[in-house]
Amino acid sequence: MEEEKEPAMVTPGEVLGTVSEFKPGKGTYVAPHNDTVFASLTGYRRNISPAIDSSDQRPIVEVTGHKAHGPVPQPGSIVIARVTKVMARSASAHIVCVGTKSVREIFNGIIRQQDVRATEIDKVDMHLSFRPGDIVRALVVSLGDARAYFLSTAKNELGVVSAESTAGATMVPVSWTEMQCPLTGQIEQRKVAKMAS
Amino acid sequence: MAGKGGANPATYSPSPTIQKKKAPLFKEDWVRPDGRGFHQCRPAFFRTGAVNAASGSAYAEFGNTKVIVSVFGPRESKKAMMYSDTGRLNCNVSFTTFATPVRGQGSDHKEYTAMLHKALEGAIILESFPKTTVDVFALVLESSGSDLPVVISCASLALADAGIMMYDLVASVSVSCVSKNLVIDPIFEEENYQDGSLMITCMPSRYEITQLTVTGEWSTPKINEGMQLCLDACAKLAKIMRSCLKEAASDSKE
Amino acid sequence: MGLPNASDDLSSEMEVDAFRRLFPLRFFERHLAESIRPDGRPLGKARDTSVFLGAVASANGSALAKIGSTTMLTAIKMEVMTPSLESPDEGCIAIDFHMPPICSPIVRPGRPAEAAPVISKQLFDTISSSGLVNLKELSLVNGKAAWMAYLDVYCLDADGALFDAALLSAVSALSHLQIPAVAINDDGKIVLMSEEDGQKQAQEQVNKEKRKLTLKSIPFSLTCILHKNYILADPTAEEESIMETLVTIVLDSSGQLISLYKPGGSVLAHTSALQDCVALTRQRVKELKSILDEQNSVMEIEQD
Repeated sequence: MEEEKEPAMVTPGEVLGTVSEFKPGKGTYVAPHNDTVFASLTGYRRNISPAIDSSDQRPIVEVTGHKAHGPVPQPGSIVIARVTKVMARSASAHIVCVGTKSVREIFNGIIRQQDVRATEIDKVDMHLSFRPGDIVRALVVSLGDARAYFLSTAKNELGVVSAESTAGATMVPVSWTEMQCPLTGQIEQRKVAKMAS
Repeated sequence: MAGKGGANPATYSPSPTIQKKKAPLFKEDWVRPDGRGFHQCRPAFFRTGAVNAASGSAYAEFGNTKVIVSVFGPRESKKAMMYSDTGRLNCNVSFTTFATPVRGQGSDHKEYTAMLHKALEGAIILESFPKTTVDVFALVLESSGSDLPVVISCASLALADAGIMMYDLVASVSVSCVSKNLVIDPIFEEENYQDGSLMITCMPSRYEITQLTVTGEWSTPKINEGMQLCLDACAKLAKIMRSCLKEAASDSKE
Repeated sequence: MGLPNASDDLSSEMEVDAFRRLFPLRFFERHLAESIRPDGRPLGKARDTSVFLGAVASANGSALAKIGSTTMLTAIKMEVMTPSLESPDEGCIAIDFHMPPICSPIVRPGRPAEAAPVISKQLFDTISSSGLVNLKELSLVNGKAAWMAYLDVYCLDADGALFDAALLSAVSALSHLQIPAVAINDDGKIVLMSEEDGQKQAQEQVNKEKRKLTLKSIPFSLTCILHKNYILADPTAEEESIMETLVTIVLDSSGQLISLYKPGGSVLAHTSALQDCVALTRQRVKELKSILDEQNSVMEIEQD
């Protein structure tokens, strides 16, 4: 993993090399008409040696370091979202974090009935799974439609991670379907996420 | 005192007593009002990060032409939009009421908005932000000639500052044909007396032109000369823009 | 924070700004309990403030004011009008506040920000009721011609306390304003006089020399957030979005109350809280006055 001593700063459009010399990595692109690798972001240029067992022995060139744009949900990313509306067949949510990063402006997500849990999906009662205001951890299934990203909580570690009881206290999970209010002892139904311990 | 708009009485801007003898100014052996050589651009000043509320921004000052561009996003596309697998670019150019010598309406500039969109579209890697929109909003604080090319160059710098993936920076320069002379980076007075104008927007390190507009009367050799002048100036401008980006990036590192 | 609960577990697994985003009120209250704000300010302290006069070359008066990131650019353009019958010897000031799409993610082209007309009105009310400008000074020819001063404030970067910054840039631009020298031509129109015209007596001079307005007691303001028992001076946009009860107090440079806005909000202010806000504003007015005075004296030195 030898790097150049002084990593060079590059800006979009600067030539980094040719396809025969380098494999294009993050922050770069290849212009097909002349097989040239260009930078697409501002940042430090780095050459990374390929893995020893890799069939492709070209070093990877990438541009990193400067501020990238705010996070955007992608299929496969884990997001944190706040439930805004619960309907019979789906729940709407505002995506506030992608991975561990908070977004600059919220994205709309929707958890459809069939994506709430993995088993007995036709028996899911949305109102016993989420309440407006709940914070959920979810997986982005697809880019969804024009209105929202499709989210899923159909995994043990996905679902409600924080919820307030009707009394206004933060509830404690007691099982994967129930949470309890520490003030009143009242049990409320949720699709609870299993906390990573 | 008067409140907002509407009921205000008709007003006029007092004009100078002596109308400047403009016509003779542009005869045979004229000099440019600001003393520049015909093929000399105004000193260009750029600064990124002008607007904190935006994801990326830039300020540009060419003589008395001053613009700010803010970039927002990638963010959710407006509800009315159809679903799209690739990202979208949305632009807007407006002027302040005091941008022009006589106070204006400060409204949106539809033509520049469309031109800015077309000039930038080809330079942005739209596939890198599927479904979402990048908004590029420009405000001309003071207008003093070559407004559109300054807006375009400044916008590309703001996009780079926002970390939006691009094929290249976009630089834009125009020339005016005034009394058989080609003058580069014309100021307002020169644009008012031009016989023709030519504007080139290009991606300098890829030698690709994203936008070319020609108006007025041009001979083929003049067009060639004008294009070469613009392309050379774009290359120089891109250098200034790159060093501005690098300076800002290394400052933020420290 | 006492017993561990679900949200604390959550906070340990995500970045601070993500927690800040999800539980903004909890995040702020943790700070407030320690008498500090997330940007490191004590509760009663305003952000760094600066004023730059003459920012717009083509205007008769202009100023750029910055409070923290909040940036306002004001330009004044003087035009000529026929004065109204009721006040033939008075000019006029038209004030407009603009929030262009560049200034904030919440403003979109074609959809004006809700705050803009409110701030326009507040600026107009404040400047007219303070008696800052003697409108008689804007008269040119009694009953025939008077100045209309178009004062346009542009928000270039919106990060809270918009009215405070807008007012600061507006009064700064008024202090920088130079009324141009003009004469009446044969058609009865007002025309500008240039240097060479000085000797020409053909025209009737109505305003012989460039001059400044005599400004009386300049108004300055401070906006505070009331939240529980806390008073936060000069809020950022984030603070304003989380804690919604705002109080804006305008005092003139001699400390007299010009206006007080408390546009609702969930916190009902006790008189003692309002008195505390006034005390903070009094302090702030001194700071703002010295910032503006300093800029004006710099301008004078440069002109000499």
